[in-house]
Amino acid sequence: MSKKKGNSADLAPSRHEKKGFGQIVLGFFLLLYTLFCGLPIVLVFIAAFTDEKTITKNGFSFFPEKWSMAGFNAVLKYGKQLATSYGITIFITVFGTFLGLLVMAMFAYSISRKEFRLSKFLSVYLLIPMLFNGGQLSGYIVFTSYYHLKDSLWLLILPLCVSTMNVIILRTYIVNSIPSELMEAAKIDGAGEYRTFFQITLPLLKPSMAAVGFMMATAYWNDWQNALLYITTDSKKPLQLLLVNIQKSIEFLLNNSNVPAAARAAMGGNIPQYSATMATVVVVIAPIMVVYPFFQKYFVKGLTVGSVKG
Amino acid sequence: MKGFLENTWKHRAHVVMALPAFLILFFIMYVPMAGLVMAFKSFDYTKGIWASPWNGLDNFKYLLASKTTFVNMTKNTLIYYVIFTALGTFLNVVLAIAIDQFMFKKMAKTMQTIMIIPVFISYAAVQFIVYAFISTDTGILNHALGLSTRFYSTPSMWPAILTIVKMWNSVGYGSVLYMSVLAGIDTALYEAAEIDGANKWQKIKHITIPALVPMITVMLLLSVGNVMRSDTGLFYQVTRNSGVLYSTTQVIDSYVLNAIFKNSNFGFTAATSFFQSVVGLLMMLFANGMVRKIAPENALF
Amino acid sequence: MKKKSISKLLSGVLVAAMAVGLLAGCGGSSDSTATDTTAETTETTDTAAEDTTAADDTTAAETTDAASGDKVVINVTRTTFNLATPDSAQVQKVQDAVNAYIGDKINVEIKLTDIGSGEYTDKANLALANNEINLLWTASWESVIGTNDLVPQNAVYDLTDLLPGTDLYNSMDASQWEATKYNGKNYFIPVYKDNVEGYDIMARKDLADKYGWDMSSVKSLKDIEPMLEDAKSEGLKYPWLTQKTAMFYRLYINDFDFFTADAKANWVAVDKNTNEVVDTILTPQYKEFCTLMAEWAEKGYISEDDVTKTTTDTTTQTQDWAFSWWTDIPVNAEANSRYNQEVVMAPVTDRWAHSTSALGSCYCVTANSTPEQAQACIDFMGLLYTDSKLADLWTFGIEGEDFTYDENGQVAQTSEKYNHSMWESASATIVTPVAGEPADKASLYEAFNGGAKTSPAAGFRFDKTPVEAQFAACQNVFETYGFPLENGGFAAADIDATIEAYQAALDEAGYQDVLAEFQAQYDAWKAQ
Repeated sequence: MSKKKGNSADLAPSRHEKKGFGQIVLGFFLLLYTLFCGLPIVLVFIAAFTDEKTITKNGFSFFPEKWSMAGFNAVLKYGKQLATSYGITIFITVFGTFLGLLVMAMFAYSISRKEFRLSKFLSVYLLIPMLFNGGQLSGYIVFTSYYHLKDSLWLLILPLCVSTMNVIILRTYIVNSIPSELMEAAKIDGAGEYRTFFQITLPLLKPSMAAVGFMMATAYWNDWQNALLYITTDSKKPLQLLLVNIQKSIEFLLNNSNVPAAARAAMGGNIPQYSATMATVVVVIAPIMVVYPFFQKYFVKGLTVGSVKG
Repeated sequence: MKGFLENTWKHRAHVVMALPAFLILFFIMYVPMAGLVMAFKSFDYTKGIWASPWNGLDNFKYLLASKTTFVNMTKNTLIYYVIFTALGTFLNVVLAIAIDQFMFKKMAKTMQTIMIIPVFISYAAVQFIVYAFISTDTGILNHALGLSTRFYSTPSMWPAILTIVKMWNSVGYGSVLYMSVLAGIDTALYEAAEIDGANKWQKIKHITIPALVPMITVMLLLSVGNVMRSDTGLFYQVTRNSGVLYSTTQVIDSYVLNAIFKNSNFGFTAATSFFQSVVGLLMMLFANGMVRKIAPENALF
Repeated sequence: MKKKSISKLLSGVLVAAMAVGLLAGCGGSSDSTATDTTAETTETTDTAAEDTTAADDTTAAETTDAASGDKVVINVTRTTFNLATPDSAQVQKVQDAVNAYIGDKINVEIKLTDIGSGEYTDKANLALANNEINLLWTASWESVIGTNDLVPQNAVYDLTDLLPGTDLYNSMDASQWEATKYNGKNYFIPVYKDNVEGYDIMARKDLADKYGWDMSSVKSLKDIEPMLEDAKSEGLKYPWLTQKTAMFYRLYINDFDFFTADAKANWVAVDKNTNEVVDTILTPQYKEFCTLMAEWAEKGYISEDDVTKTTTDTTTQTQDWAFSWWTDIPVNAEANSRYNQEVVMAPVTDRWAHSTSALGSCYCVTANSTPEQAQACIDFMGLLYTDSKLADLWTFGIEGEDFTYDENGQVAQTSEKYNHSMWESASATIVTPVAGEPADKASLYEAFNGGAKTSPAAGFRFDKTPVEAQFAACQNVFETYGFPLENGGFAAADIDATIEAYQAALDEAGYQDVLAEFQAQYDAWKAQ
C-alpha cells in the first residue's frame, strides 16, 4: 500500500500551465485574510510591551511612544507558578487528546456499522448530553461529593474528553470518506472487528482525527472553567486559569467601586491593566504557533491514495 | 427482542468498543443531568437540590418579565445565530477550498498557522483590541480613514462589528475541519476528471463540494441544537455590556449573565438553560426530519 | 488472532483504567475542605434520594461526633483582593500558625481556604451549596453571595442567641450589631471599619492650584461648573470623570435612602423627607440631575467614553481628568497614593448610616453548621477581634516571612503569598496599622463613624423574592435608559421625553409590582 503525496509533478501537465493568474488572485485574497487575522495579533504583541500610560493616553498603537516591561512583569511575577501551569496544561492537553481520540474513534466506529442495531440507541444517547445540561451546581455536587474527585486532574481531562460534535464528525468521516469496500474486503480476509478497526479504519481516519485532535487540543488549552471550580492545589492549576485570575483580579480592583481604597493602594497604585492582559495572551499563544505545524502534515491530500488500490 | 439480543451478541466487539465513551458520558454528563430539576425548584441552601421546594414554572418568569426585552433578546439571539452560522459555514468552506487549491504549499501552511491564532485569544483581550480599532478618538480605523464615527454609541453598526469579530475569531479554526475532509478525497477522482477535460471550477463543483456536503450538513444539524445559546464573551465583554447598544446586542445569555450577577439564583440559570435546551431539541428534530427526507444518509439519526 | 486479543485487551484495560482512576481520585481529596473530619451533618446532601434536614433538626446523637473531646473543626473561607492567587503552601502555614496560637485558648481548630478575588464568588457559592463551609467572609455588595442573597435563601445561621455576653459581642459598640440585623436577627459579624457612607467631589490638586479653585466652597455638583470650564480650556478629555458610574445613587443620599444597595436598582428608594418608598425616576431631583449631566455632556465636560463604558480603568492615574468622585473614608489621603497624584476633596453629601453601610465587610456562619460549630466560630471571631497578635497573623501572615514590624511598630507588607488588608480581615481597632497610616487610625474610624446621621430606613430589609423576575427586568431597563441618562448620554432638550420613555419601559417590565411590594414591606416594617 504505497502512499502518494499530492505533488504537482505527478499531476497532468496542464496543471502546471494553470499556475498563473488564478493563483496570484487566490494568493492575494489569502494574504489579505491573513493580514486581517494577523494584524490584531501583532498589536497584541506590541501592546504587551507598551507602557501603560501611553496606552491610556494615546490608545493602542503599532508604534508606541514608550515601551515598558511592566505588563509582562505583572505576569512573570508568577513565574514559578507559570512554569508549573504550563506543564499541567501540556500534560492535560496531550493526555486528554489522545485518550479522547481513542475512545471517541472506537465509539464512532461502532455506531457507523449499519448492521449494528444498538447504534441507533447509541446515537441518540450521544446527542442528548449536547442539548441538555444539568447545570454547574449539580455537576459540582456530583463530582466532589459523590465521586470525591475534588482537586483531581481527572476533572480537567474527562469532561472535555468525549464530545458529541467530535464523535459525529468522526462518524461522518468514516461513513463518507472511508470506502466500505475496504472493510468488507478485510472481513472476507478473515479479520475480526478489532483488527479491522485498528489496522484499516484507524489509519484512514487520520485526517479527521487530526482535525478533531486539533479541536480537542484547543478546547483543553483554552479551558479554565473546570479548573476554577475544582482545583485547589496550586501545582495543579492550568495555564489559562492563572492568567484569567490575573486579568480578573486587576479588573476587579480597578472597576469595583466597593473595594475600599486601602485594597487598591495595596496593589501599589500602578496597575498595568492593558499591557498585563496582552501579556497574558502572548503567554498563551506563543506555544501554539510552534506546535500547530505538527498537525498540518495530516491535512495533505493524497494521504489515503493507493489504499484502495493496495 | 430475540433478534435484537442476537444482533447485539453478534456485534459484541462493537459494544466493547463503544463502552469507554459510553461510561464517560454516563458518569460525567448523565448523572449530573438530574440537576435539571433545579429549573422547577426554589433553591434553599439548607435543603440542597433534592429537598428544595418546587415552584412550578416561576423560574421561567425571569425571562418573560418584560415582554419587549424577551422579544428583543430572542430576536437578537436568532438573528445572530443565522448570520454566524450561514456566513461562518460559507467562509469556513471557502477558506478550506482556497487553501487547498493554493499551490504554494509552504506559504499556505504559514498563512494557515496565523489564521488559527485568533481562536486562542480570550475575549478579555479581544475587547481591548476591538476598542483599539474602533474607539472614537484614538481608534485605528477612525485614524486611518480620517473619520470620527462614534461606533460605541451607534447600535446599528454592531451586528456588523460583532459579525466581523466573530468571523475573525472562528473562520481560521473552523476551516481546519473541512480541510481534513478535503484531504480524504481520493486524488484518482481528480485525475479522472482531468482526463475528461474538466477545468478547475468544474472539478470543485462536481468533486470537492459534493465531498464536503455530508460534513457541512452534519455540522449545521449539530449547531441547530444550540440555536438559543450565544458566546457570552462576544456579547458581554466586547460590547462592554453597554446599555446603549442593547437593542442590537443583547442576547439571552448576556441577559442572564447580568441578572445572576447581582441576584444569586440557581433556579433561574437552570430554567434558562432548560428553555434553551428544549428549543434546541425541537429545532434539531425538525431540521433532522427535513434532512432525512432530502438526503437520509446525512441525517444525524 | 494475536492482534485481536491485544486490541480487546486494550479496550478492556482502558475501561479498567478509568474505573481505577475514578477511585484513585479519592486520594486527591486528601487536603479537601470537604469535611472528612467535620460532623456528618454537614455532608447532608451526599446521597441522592436523602432529604437533607434543616439546621435546627440536628439531634444530640449527631452532635457528639463533632466535639468528641477533640477540638471542633471549622472550615473558614475568605478571599484576598491584593493578590491574583494566594500561595496555598503559605496559606497552609498561616492556618497551622493560627491553630497553634489558638490551641490553648479555645477549643477550636480551623481549616483555612483563601481564594483569589477573581474566583471567589463562583467557588464560594458552590462550596456553600455543597456544605463545605462553616465561616464565610462576604459583604453586602458582593455579587451572588452578598448578604441580601444569603438571607432569603436560608444560607446563614442565626447568631442572635449566641452573641450576648461573648467577647465578640463586647468588642464592638451595640449599634454595630443593631445596624447589621436582618428581620430582627443577627446573621452577620461586621468588620469594624468605615461603616457609614458619604461622597466627595475630588479634584486634581495641581489644576486646583493652577486655576485657584476654592474647593472648600464646593457644596454641590453645580458649584464646580465654572471650574469645569477651566478644565475644558485646559484641553482635558475628561473634565468630569464619572468612572463609568451612574452617580444619582451616590450623590443624592441626602434626599434618598437607596435601600436596594444596588446602583442598577436606583429607581426605587425611601424619600428621607417623607419617609415613604417612592419612584425616584419621577422626582424633581432626578430630572435636575439628569438635565445637569446632559448639559455638561453637551458642553464637553463629560466624555462619551463614560456613557459607552469604554473609559480606560486606569484613567484616574493619568492627567486626563480634572474632577471625579470619591467615597469618603477616615483617611482621604489614601487617594493620593491610589491615583499617583495629589487630589483634594470636597464633601457633597452628609455621612449616613444606611441598612447596609455596616455590611461593607462581614463574616457569617453557614446555616448547615452544627450548634457546636457555630459556637466555635463565635469563639474564634471573638479571639480574632480582641487579640492583636492573632489579628495581625490573620491579616498579614507569618511575621518575618510575610510582613515585619518597622521601627514605629507598624506593619511593612511585601508578601506575594499571603496578603490581606484590615478591611476584610478584622476590626480597625485591633489590627496594627500599616506603615504610612496614621498611628491613631482606630480612633479616626470611631470619630468618622460617630459623626454620621442615621437614615430613617436604617434596618429595613427588603425581600425581593415575590417580585424577583420583575426586579431583574427593571435592572435591565436601567442599563438601557438610566445609565446613559445619568452619564449625559442624551441631549438636554430630550430629558423629559427620555424620562417618560424610561418610566414606560420600567412599567412594562413590571415596575409597578415592585414598587407596590416594597411600599407594602416598608409600611409593615415601619408599623413595628
